[in-house]
Amino acid sequence: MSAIEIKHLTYTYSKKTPFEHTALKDVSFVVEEGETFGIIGETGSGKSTLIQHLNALIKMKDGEGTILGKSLKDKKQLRQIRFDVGMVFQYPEYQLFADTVEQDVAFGPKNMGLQKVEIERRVRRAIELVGLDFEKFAKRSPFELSGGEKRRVAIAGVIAMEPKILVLDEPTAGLDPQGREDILALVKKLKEEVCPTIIIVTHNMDEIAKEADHIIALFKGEIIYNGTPLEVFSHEDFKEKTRLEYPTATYIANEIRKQGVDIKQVVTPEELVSELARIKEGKNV
Amino acid sequence: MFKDISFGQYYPANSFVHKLDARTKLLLTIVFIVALFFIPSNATNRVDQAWYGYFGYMVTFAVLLVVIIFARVPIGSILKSIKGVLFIIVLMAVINLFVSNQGEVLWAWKRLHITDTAVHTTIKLILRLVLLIIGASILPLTTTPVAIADGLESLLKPLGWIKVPIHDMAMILSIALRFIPTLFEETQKIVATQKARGASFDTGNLFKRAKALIPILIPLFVSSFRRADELAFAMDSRCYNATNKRTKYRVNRMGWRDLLAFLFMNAYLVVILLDRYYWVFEMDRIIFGGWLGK
Repeated sequence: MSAIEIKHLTYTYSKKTPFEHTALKDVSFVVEEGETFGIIGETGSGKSTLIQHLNALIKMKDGEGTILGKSLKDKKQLRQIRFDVGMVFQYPEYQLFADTVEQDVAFGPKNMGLQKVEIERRVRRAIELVGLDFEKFAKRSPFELSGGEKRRVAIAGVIAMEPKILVLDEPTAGLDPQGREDILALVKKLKEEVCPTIIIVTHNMDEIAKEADHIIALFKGEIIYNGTPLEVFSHEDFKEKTRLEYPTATYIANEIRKQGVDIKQVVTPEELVSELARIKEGKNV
Repeated sequence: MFKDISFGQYYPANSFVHKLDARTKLLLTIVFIVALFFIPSNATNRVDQAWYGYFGYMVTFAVLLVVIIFARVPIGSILKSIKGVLFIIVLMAVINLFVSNQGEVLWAWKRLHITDTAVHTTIKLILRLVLLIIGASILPLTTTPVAIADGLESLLKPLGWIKVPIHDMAMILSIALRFIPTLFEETQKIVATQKARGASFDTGNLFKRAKALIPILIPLFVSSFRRADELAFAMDSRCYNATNKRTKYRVNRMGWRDLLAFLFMNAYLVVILLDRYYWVFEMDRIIFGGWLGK
């Protein structure tokens, strides 16, 4: 069973008004369980609309979709789907509202109607998973934390619901380089320990090239490319068709190739380094 | 995603009425309302027949038809504004139908009775309210909120002479209007986030529902204060000073369209006044006298 199957999804905002705007056009894709799945596209390409369909925040109108075997069109299942798919939105720190970190993280589990003991267990586990000291942070106000800490608390709030699929919308937006690295390390840790299926929405091609097993690239609501990072970034018209940039490693490899050097397609810095090493050795021999 | 959706009723089009100066539309809306209230809705000692006034409403209807055609807004969006107050109109009509004691009794049951005068005044009351709402909806349908705020500021300028801080008030109004779509977008985002955490806003009793709003309102307040702070900084860093004499980026000028619109609406006002004070409902007698007059 695939984690997510979406078929022929089309969505139009403000239908039949002068503000009508088609955000998604005939979108179909499959996410396998255990995959890290990347969704890339320029601003306004429909990424946010797409992910809001995945936990039924937007009701599916045209198309079919199943999440872990449950239909997105079956009204009785929507609540369960919402708990199965954890959603970390852009700048999630803006969702914080409670008096203490503990209460804020407990909001989701409480809405699920869990027992008090279970809620406490989950809250403690989630706060520790995101790398915060429970004893130190639990009773503090979320509003007096630093930006990076706030984001961790917000992510903990989603993790505490123990979702089976985790969707992260621009998880590193607005963070400094160290903060980005920390959050990416956290995502990796969450994938290993909590939730193997992860969907990341991003503008950052370097991050997605490194993390994702599979990518879809959206442009004006349509899927332009669907494949592994290597497949997607190998397209020569990638830049024109999606208005995105290549990952830095791919860009450098492309420039080297233009100089007449026979270099294989790469997407990550590690691949680039080993490819350059191979060429260097070949020349020395 | 929602950036191009303005709030309110504004219907974008490139019509004659859209191109009118906002001040023209504001003033003419007032002219229209004044004229409408000169058409009698009930019989008094000066209006001796209950059915006098139908001609005035016919003229009003024709005038509105012309305005709507020139505004190129769909009838649906105009009717929508009536839908909101339909309940009040029906309620007033029903009460009005039973209160009049004048005229011939058409129907009676216990202490309730309906007279022919009541029927006429009720019909005219409904006409007056419906036409009033249609007429008043033309302004917001064809004018952006910002243009209305600018127009108001310009029209209220004379109040500045008696030290009313018109400019400050206009600035507050424009900032408020400017941030409605932004906050709307923000609210939608926060609602989506909290819904994703399992919050529901439409179950439980009133107290529970009010409590469910806390996770929305607190983040919204926090972000509003943050935005206000940023805006204040931005204004300060541009040396904004409300007390200075400031020029405007958009200068509104009246043109031939405004002149035509003024002539048209004032002609309408004159017809209504003539009908009431000079012809004294002669037109009503000519058109309706045959089957309503006895």
